[in-house]
Amino acid sequence: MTRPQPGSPLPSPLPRPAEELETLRRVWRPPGGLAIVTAVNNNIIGLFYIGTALLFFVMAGLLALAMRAQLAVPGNDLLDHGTYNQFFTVHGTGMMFLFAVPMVEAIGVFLLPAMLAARDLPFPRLSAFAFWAYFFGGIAFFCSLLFDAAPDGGWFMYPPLTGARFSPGINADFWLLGIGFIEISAIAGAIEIVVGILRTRPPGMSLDKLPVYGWAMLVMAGMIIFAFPAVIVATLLLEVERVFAWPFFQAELGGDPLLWQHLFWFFGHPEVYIIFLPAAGLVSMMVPTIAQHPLIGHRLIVLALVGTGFFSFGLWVHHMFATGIPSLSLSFFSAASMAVAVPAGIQVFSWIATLGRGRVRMSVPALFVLGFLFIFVLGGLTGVMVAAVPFDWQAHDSYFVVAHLHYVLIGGMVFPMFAAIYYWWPMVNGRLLSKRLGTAAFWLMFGGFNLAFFPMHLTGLRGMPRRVYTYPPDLGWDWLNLASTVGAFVFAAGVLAVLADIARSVLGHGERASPNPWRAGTLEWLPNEYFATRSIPRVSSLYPLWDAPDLPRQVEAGGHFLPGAPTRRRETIVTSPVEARPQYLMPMPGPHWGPFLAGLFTAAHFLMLTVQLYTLSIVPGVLAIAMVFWWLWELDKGEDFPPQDIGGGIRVPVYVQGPRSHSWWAMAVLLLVDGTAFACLLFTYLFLWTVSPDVWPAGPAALPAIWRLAAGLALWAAAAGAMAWASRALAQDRHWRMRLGMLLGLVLAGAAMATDVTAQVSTGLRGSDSAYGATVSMLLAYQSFHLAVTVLMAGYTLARSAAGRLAARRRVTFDNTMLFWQYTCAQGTAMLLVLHLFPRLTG
Amino acid sequence: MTERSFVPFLLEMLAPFLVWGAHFGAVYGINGIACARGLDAGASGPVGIAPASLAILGVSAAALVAVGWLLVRALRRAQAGRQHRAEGGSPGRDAVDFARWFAAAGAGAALIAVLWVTLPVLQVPACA
Repeated sequence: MTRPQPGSPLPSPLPRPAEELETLRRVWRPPGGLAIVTAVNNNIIGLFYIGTALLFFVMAGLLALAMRAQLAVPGNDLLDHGTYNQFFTVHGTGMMFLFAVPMVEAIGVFLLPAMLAARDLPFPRLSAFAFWAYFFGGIAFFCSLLFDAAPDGGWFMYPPLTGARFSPGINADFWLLGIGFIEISAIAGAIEIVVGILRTRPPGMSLDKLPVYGWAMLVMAGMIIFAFPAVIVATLLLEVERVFAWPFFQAELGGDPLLWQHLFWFFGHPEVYIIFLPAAGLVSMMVPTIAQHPLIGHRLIVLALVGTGFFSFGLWVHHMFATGIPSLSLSFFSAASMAVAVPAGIQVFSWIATLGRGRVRMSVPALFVLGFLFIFVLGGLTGVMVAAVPFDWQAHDSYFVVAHLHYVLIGGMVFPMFAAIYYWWPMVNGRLLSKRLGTAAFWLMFGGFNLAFFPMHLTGLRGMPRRVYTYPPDLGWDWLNLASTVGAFVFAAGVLAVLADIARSVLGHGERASPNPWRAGTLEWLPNEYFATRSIPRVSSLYPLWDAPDLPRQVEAGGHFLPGAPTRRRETIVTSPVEARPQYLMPMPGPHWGPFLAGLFTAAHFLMLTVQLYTLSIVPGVLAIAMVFWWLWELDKGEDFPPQDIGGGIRVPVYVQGPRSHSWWAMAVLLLVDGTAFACLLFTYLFLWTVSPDVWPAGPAALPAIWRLAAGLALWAAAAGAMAWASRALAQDRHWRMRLGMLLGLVLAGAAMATDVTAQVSTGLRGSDSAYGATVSMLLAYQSFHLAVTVLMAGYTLARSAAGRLAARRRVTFDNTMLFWQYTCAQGTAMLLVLHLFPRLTG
Repeated sequence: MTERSFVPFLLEMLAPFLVWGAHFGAVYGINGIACARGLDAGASGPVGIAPASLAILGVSAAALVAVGWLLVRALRRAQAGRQHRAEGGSPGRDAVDFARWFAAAGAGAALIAVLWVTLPVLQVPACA
């Protein structure tokens, strides 16, 4: 790569050739008609995502209105208790899993590339697949209500209530399988966001110049990576217990229902911040514009975001204060729960200081931001109250908690979201939403919200438990509930006003917006098309549009980096993660049927599993995998073009492999997810040993012979070695040796797995016998799953080799397979050491 | 100019929080296992410091030393960076300066957080 030439005022000389812009528009043109479902560009997928999340918000909201109607008066019989149970479960689940998390990711998919002046996120087809899986899965989940098959165990699905004994039928399975696989979409989105933020920033946007929203999304994605595996493992364990009777949560066989609570809340509390931090990031982008003043305390806010991300993993037990955990342990979590208010306070004070120092221009986004500040601070204060153990024991499972969580979640996420819709809507269709309708919507929502939820504090303090479908009169709850119901409908009217405003704008009404209607300072307000900006700007400050007023004209004229499409296909600049120096030109995939069909078949596979059509479910499962391979096949093109000039005298390659490749990064992030899930399984093993040592083997006599451990370790090591040998062979372009190495490695890995399984079977171990048997069997099953994935990836890699699509200088596919392969061997080794040595050391 | 390696850069920024996380997991783990296995015997005095709580205090002391060392190191590096800049320095070091400030501020926050989380050991019985 060559360096920029000094003295050049702009990276690309002006004027640009006329055909450059035409080519850019041609290669980025979205598909039309029915083929729109094959679109992968973030501008389209982002809007699909946002629209679908809003749809689920409305559907879950309608359930809330039905529940509020039921509770309006005592002794009401509008809903029976069974229906009410389904409604509150689907309401909570839908709001948390199908609205809030997807919405924050959706806004990121839509906004981040524009904010980073990247042409798209790095894995557009992965984004599209994640969206379609979420779309079909979410629709199926809501449809379960129509068949009286919706889950009814509450959004946190505590066993033993949700176990096979107390929840027979498929209602709970809809939650476990339906939500479990939708979380895979969230993880796919997180990988996309991490790699996008770290590798596709514009030249010059070093980490210190990353907008706060970028930091917020980075922290959020990091939290998804470490939090979501816990809930995926939890759902897996409960589903396996329901289907195969492996007693993870059954106390009489050594299991423990508290295991579910630990795993669920290890995800569940960070989940609150996964929702809140991106919203806070949006606020941190809007506040400077509203005040026309740079954000005060930018660095402190970044520190607060990262600190919140860490501290939020030390809070999960504050949902379990009433479970009998030792008081000192409770105190640790109580202390951490109070401490997390500090970083939140830093952000609040920073926003207030910025608004105070600037010249605030009242607008609809400003109203929603102010409403957010008021409501969120109240929710935060009640959060500190329930962080105190004695108070929590009084308020536990009462309407006080319902009030608190809605103040935090609606205040902390929904109000910023509506502010964001009004603020960034001009990026959707070039029009401003109505100020009059927006103002009316805000006051309806703000007034309605406080009328609905403030009285719930009092209802809770007067003893009303949450989740009751009705209540007797004369307990002092009547008028409070009636007020809450009226407030809920007023709030809904506000939401309806926003939807009407959006519909009005989509139909072509409303004031046309100028290119930068709010006079913002950040890159998303540069002139934009489907390919983001005409040229990718050189960035030298946090507010480039304020510091370089001529930047929009320069960028639109093509004066900055990559003003065209030099390889005549979709591409964007990959930059270094710290200093954002151009590294290479990444080719980006275009529209394809694969992601849509893979999403559809994935949803069909899990739906069939849910309704217990196990054999038939194999068909869509296989088809989903085939669709993924189909869309992948044409990628990993190798260095099919010479290095390209991207402007500023910089020539970059169009292909890199190894640790600099964005693909390597994505696999590394995926392995972090995978490793966390494995750690959760190890936690399961250790936790159940802690509570039920009596079901663990008493000594070496009850364990597999030690030579089986040695054999297993040797085989996993040999499998890893064979892959390393294959890697060296590929580096020398010795293809037959490479194939031989992979095939030999697969045989060795298969032998290792067989050795591990037979070792445990030789002791007479069965998964249904005890919590020990269940845990060991689960670890083996998890490792077998990894081996199966390794076989699939290896088969795909070998197929590419046979087709001549693999070489020493075209080996990204091989490297991905190798990373996963070596991880699988390492995981197998760790599993063996735990299964064989831990009981010997403690027995 | 060579490109800065990301993982060491990230670790430098996050090290104080990682120490806090390790400390938090350790103290909860020790207390949980001690109470499950009845290892809180031997407590004395009105509140009593059980052996497990002493172990927690030991872990906390180690965490404080680690975070304190990170704080001193980050402050020294930040100071060196300021001096370098005052002497004309090399351009393009904004990200490095930011990371050093972040590491120092993070270490300060982690120091307080470790102390805050440890405080209950001196006030609350281990397994009541």
